Amino acid sequence: MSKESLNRIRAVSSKELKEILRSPLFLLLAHFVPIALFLVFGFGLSLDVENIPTALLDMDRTQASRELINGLVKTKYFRLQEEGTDNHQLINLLKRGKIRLAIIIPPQFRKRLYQDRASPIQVLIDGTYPYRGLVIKNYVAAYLTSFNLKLTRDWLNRRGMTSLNLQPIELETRFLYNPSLVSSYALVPGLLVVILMMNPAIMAALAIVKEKDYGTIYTIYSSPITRWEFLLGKVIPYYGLNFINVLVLFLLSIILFQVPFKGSLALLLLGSVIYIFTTTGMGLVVSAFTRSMVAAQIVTIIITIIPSFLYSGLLMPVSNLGRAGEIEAHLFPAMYYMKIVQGTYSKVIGLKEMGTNYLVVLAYGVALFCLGLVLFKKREG
Amino acid sequence: MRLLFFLKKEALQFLRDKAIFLFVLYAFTLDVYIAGNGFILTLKNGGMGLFDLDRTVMSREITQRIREPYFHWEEEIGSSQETLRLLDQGKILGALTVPPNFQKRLYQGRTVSLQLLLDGTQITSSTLASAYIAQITGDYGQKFAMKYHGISSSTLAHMPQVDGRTRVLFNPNLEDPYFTALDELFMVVTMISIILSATALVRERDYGTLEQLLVSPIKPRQIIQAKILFTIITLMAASQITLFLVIKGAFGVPMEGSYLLFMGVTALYIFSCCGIGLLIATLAQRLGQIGLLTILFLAPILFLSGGWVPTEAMPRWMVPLTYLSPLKYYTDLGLGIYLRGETLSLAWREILAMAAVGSGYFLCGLVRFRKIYR
Repeated sequence: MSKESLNRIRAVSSKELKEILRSPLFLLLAHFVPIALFLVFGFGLSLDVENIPTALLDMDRTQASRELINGLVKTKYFRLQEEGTDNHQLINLLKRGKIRLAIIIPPQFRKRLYQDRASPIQVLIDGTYPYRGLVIKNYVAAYLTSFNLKLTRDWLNRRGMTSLNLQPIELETRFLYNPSLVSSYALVPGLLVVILMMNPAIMAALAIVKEKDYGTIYTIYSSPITRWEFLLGKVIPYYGLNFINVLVLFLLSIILFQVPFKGSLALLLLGSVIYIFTTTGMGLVVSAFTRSMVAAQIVTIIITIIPSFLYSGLLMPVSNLGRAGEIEAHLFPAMYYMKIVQGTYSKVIGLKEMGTNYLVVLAYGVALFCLGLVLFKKREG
Repeated sequence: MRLLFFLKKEALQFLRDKAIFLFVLYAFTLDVYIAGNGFILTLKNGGMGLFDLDRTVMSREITQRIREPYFHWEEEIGSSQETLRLLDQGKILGALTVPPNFQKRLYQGRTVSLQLLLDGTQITSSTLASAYIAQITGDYGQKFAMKYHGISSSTLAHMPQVDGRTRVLFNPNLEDPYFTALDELFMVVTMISIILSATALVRERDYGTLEQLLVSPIKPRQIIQAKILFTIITLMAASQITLFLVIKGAFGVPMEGSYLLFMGVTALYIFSCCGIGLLIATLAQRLGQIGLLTILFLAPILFLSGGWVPTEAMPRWMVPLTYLSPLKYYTDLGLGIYLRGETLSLAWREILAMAAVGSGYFLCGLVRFRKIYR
């Protein structure tokens, strides 16, 4: 690289940096947006299905029916929201989304139970949110199993068959990396992936198109600067600003959210630097092929927000996605960086296990930069 | 008449920027299709590793019950180090260890423990997997115990049992696309309507064409009206494509409620989003700030809507904030009308609330807009 070349890159970079610094609102947003998102999502992003609003219609009103219900709503999973008066009312509550579960205990529930036969109750679950519906179904089934086990034990006791081992198989479940299954331990680091995708991309998306829109691009067209010097000079300030964001988000995650960081900081930072290089590249490509700032921003928002949330492995592991989702996940750099983030935060694995992820993100970034070069022409057309 | 001309100008501007047109079209078609097809929240085919130290009929029986559609056995594991390695690499969701003498000890009437190790970084899958496997092993154990203690199935039929007859309403098979495709449509509508309306308003100022408009016979009020009307018309048309082509066409999600009510609520919602767009337009000084400002507003709106993250699971102080997200009402109403067949007589409270919140944003935007543009 010649000295002139370096000088030109420096000139473009310092011009870009000055523009950013002299637009206080943009600068504020560049750092404030990631932090604000991190705080909002970090505190509230939880997928736990708890406090499920439940309605009850007890037409039996005996001690047995009370016992069944009390045991259920005593757990942290269910919350008794309403005592219904008739079926129709329960269905309307479900339709309005006010409750997610309704339990109907018919008259003579207790009588049937003590005539030693199966006594039916009706359980209505709102299936609008499939994951929540499934979890509720499982919770209710597990609760009824344990309730029935108690009934069986009592029945056997009354017939003199005491102290039988009715549950000879135990299941010891351990959650590796996150023993108490705290949502934030898994989700807060994952937010780095989402935020560091949106922010650099949307900032860099303006880099070139801004000049096209305001017409200042013609000075570039007529200057001796080459295309790659121009592009590189343009994006360097955005790397810098977003690297500050990486550090701030990392510190917030361990200090404010108290997420244990067990792995190597150097590996995380290396991965993050490569990742922001790549996501900046996404913005750069958009900036090179669009003609107006309006288009650049709309396109970037469409291609970053939703894929980074849905297909990065943040809410759902990629292996569990359907075919179309899995393809989309592999096409986006977010998934690979997610593996690096999880690998350094909680799994404590090294370059040997994660090396390919670094390479994929890097290759992605280089490819994007080259694509930007191809798309950005130093002439009209 | 002037309004019509202005609408035509907006439409031409929209259609002539091919990048905007194509990506908006993508968002309303392929994007919703991929989300509906690809985003599965329920556990499907979770890869499990098996470390069987017993290798008897019973250990085989119990592992055979852990199967599709929820699980498949990905690997036979030979050591506990291998278990950890596979989990580290993310090759498996979890591993089940059957201890030696599993069958022998059961026949001695003793209690045996199976070890289940799950990947705690994958919250949703692991939660479901642990519930399913606990159910399967518990059930198997109980059946064995009954047989072991000589309690026959005819005796079992006479024991007191609560028979929970579970019915899942509105989406009986818990099909993911019912929810994911609709929710994705709601999010795309939000995203595009906010950014389209925000950029439409700032654009004129940034390019200096606002001066021309202000000296023309068209009134400032009409400029806003036309731009918002254009956003509403465009997005209503685009939602039709998604509804008929993707949601009904590709996924076959049945519409339970009134189509007219659904579209009416959608129009009202897009109007609310334009209010937020208007607000953003007044906060931005230049066109280049719209993107970051939109993300700043959009992300909390999406997040607080209760679509991805259940409101019940949020911290208590955050719950009141969800009422500020117009998407919360639209998600409730949209899913309610489409999937649960909610009627106007059930939904009117939410509709009013959404209108109130939307008008609130709109008024804020309008007041600020007047200040700046007069």
